Amino acid sequence: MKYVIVGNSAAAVGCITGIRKVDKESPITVISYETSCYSKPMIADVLVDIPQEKLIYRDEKFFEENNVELILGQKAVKVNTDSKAVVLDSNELVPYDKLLISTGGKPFIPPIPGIEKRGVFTFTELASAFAFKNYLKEKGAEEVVVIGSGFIGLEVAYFLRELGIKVKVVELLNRVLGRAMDERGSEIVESLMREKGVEFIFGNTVEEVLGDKEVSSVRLKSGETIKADAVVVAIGVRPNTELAETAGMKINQGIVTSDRMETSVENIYAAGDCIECLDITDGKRKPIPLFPLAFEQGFVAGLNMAGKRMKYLGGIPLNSLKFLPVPVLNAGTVSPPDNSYEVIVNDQFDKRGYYRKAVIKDNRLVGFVAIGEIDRVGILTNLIRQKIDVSDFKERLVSLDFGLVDLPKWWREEKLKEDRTAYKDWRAV
Amino acid sequence: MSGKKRKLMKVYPIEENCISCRYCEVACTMVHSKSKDPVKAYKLENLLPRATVEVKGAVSLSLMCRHCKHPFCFDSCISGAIQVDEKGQVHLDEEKCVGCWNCVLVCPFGAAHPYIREEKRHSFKCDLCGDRGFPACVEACPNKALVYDYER
Amino acid sequence: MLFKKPQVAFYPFMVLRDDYKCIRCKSCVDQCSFDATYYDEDLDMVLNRHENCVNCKRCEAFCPTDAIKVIKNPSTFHPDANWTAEALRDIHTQMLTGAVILTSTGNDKPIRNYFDHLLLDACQVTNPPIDPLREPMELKTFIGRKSDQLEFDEDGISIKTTIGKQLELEIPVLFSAMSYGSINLNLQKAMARAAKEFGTYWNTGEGGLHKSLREFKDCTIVQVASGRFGVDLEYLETSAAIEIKIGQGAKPGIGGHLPGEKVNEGIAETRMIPVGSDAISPAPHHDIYSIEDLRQLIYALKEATNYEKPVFVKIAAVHNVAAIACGIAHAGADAVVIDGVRGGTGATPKSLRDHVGIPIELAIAAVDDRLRKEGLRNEVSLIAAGGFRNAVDVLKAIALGADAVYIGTVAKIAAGCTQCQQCHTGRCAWGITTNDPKLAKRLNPDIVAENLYNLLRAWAHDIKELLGAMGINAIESIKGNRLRLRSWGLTEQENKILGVLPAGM
Repeated sequence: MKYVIVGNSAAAVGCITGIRKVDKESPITVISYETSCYSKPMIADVLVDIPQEKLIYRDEKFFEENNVELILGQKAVKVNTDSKAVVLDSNELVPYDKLLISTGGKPFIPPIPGIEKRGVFTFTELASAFAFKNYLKEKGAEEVVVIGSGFIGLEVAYFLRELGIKVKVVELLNRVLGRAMDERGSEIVESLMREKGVEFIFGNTVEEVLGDKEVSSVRLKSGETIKADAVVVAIGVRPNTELAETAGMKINQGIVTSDRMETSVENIYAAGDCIECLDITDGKRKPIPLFPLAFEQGFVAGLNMAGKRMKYLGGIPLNSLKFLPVPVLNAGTVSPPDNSYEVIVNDQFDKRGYYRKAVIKDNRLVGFVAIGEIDRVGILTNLIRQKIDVSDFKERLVSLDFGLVDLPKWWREEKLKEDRTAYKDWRAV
Repeated sequence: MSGKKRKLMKVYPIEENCISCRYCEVACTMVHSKSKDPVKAYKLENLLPRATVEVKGAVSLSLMCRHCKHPFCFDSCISGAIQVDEKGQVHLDEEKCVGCWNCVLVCPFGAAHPYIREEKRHSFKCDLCGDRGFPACVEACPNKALVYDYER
Repeated sequence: MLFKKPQVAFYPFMVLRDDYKCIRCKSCVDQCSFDATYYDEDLDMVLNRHENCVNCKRCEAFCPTDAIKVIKNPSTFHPDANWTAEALRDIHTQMLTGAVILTSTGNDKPIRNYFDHLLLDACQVTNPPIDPLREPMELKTFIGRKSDQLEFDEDGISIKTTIGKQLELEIPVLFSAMSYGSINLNLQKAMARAAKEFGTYWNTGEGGLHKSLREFKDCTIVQVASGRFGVDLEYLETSAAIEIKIGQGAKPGIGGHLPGEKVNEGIAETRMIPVGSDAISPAPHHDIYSIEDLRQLIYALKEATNYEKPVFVKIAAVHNVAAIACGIAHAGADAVVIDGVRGGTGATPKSLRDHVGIPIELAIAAVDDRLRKEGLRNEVSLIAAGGFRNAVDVLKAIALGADAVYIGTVAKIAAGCTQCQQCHTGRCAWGITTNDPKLAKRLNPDIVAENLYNLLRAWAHDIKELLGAMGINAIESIKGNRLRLRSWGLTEQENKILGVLPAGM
């Protein structure tokens, strides 16, 4: 058996871990155009000079110990399904018995005039982060415009303030983290960002990037022009399906996979930001580009590739704003789309510095927000994951001392006494 | 996952015996301190317990990392600070941890805790008193509500 | 200062806290079952409501940094030998409640403890002491009716006489009656296990026998009291002996009352009453107004159990205890149990606890004397109860004439009791005299069974050492052997009642 993995981030490492649970022997090959296995969620930290070793997600030792051959700095350009081989940009062929496509996401770049100018950056690769950092230094940048107030946009903006650079965040919606966070959460995050000195321009968008070859300013939809020594585009990522397309597999918004992470093409599996993932909270399949999900999908793919049949539990959208001094976490559906949802709030942010909110549908928790005090919220995440009936302890969900004693006794028996904590034990009840 | 019994010993709470005295918490904080003194551990070293005593009426229990057979914290760790050894014990390297709180967000038991101070931000959790040989919480429990036993 | 009622303003105990040592673990807050300790989030401090403190010392014991000391309130009433703080507080309580003052445990007044005035003998030169670690030493005791004389077969060796069922004790100490309700199942379980392991007996008290304890049948004494709780044929049969409870040292002449709020499902089932109903034991047995009536009950029980169970009768040590004991012997009981003035209880009016009954030492001597005089001593065993603190008390009681001793308070103390006298509240912080599930789980039967076993073992060692020093190798040989006792500091009359010589004579 010969395993090949394209991509070298969370899903790939998850896949290696999964394969090695079952098959300790067969060779694994990892192909990546990047040169190291770094942690994608950490790239913005480059701006604040995080030590290089902290960026490394898995070092060479990991790959050695797991008997993984690395083909780095080379891009997989095509999958030849007939001969079961991956074609590299060097025209070299890498044959596979089982292949995992974990090519990740690519930043969405809106079709704005001038967006191709030098000085416009995205933030999904380590190389672009370094390039941005260097550009700021080279230009002695004083003012930067960030387009989009999602997690990456806010993080970049925050770190730019650490560097003393003036930042304006342009956001189409009227609040930060629009889709991911509820209104109160957005308000709190915005105030924390403003305390740091970040300025926001809401309900607006960049219509044109101005400057000769290099960015000098942007023109907003409102007509206003604002100075920008550099522009960061952070309005989301889309599944990178370029390689998958060459294999002729079924692709919607992202690669379509089965519960076992198989694509529509035999012997090819897919995991990570490039696929459409099952969202537990609404039962829909969609791209959810998140690190923990990618790892888990890779893990499940790895098990199945190695012959152990295992179904993916599905993913929960989870977010953590790791850069803010105040921790901000959320999971699942935080803004109920209609009145069939029940919302329980414990807002003590102004008095005691924390905010908690739970969103319930049909007596099942489907989402929560935790700001300030975040200890033990994983229990809530699991309530979403296992779809446990919360009707008996609804009000307790948002209290800081919510714990396992609030959960049904059978759950504690199963998990604590019987120790049923294997992957399959976490399915919905 | 492979169905084989691992040779891991971990701490099992027995809620029928827990009297919520919090000795486990204090013992935990103490043995993880430099001073090995409970007052200094809390007040000077600002340490926090890795075991959590939960109380709701007559039900109480002490809860610490379960060293899950499938640890979600390990899946979610973006820094590689969380690793699983061959026995199945889940280790969290506080120096390597970058404080992204993903483990806090996904741990079904709420056993990975955030440590948030000006000078330090990292997650922390039960390490089974690795360098001590025997979990301090089990030793401290006055009512046999914690047992150190082979994985079930 | 806001106005406070006197019993709130003048509280007897205070919780001293070393705030530096307090790490806010809040263990004390959780452990306090009397609402005397709380955490204030705004101040980030643990604080006390001293007026609620009962000096149970649970918080003190459980503070991991030794930051707590419960002390007597240093602010006292004006010193007055008559108008003591207790006298004043009792008035404060009664003027507000209009009720008798309920309390628990045993008499706490300085009534002379005669055990402390009795001294044991030892051997020197003329008669050798025995080393109990090198030579056999017998503590085995049989409780039950012994025959008047022994008849032998023609061979002159084999005994022809048959005697009724006896209880065989490896140590002359039994666990006394404490009902399920007044204490919880955990302590009963612990006593049952320790008794079984060591070779002695425990007593159900008047609350019936929980089904989970039926496996301890062979070391269980089941009680039949005036409320007849939990009594049916199966109950009587699931026992080693049956005890009719007439009275109790801590509350002679009155019955008992387990309030309905304490009657949970387990208690209700065991007592055979509805959940939440008051369990009232009347002061008298309504079918016993004479020795003849008592005899009827004794024989009814014997009849029901096929004469296989010895039947005990328990009374409080009152003024004419000797005559009553003789009556009980005549009525056909196999053992008389006498409970002295220091005997404990789960609830009693304070006035009765502290002022009714006589010390057990005098009662043992008086009853033993009287039974001998009437030629009845072999017909009944004499079991003493009420305030026995250690092995020496036990041995002195046996020397005075008892066959065995019941211990109750000692068992509670071995389970953690600090004698705070709050049993009647059902809020025992040590999880002993409470059935609140949160509190009751503080008493782990595994641990307490071990403690109780250790205690019995230690007492057995003690008794053997003392016997050895006296040159005696069997507990039987000290029974009623008052010549091996001397007294000090007692009046002639007291010596006469006890049947002992003063030291030096």
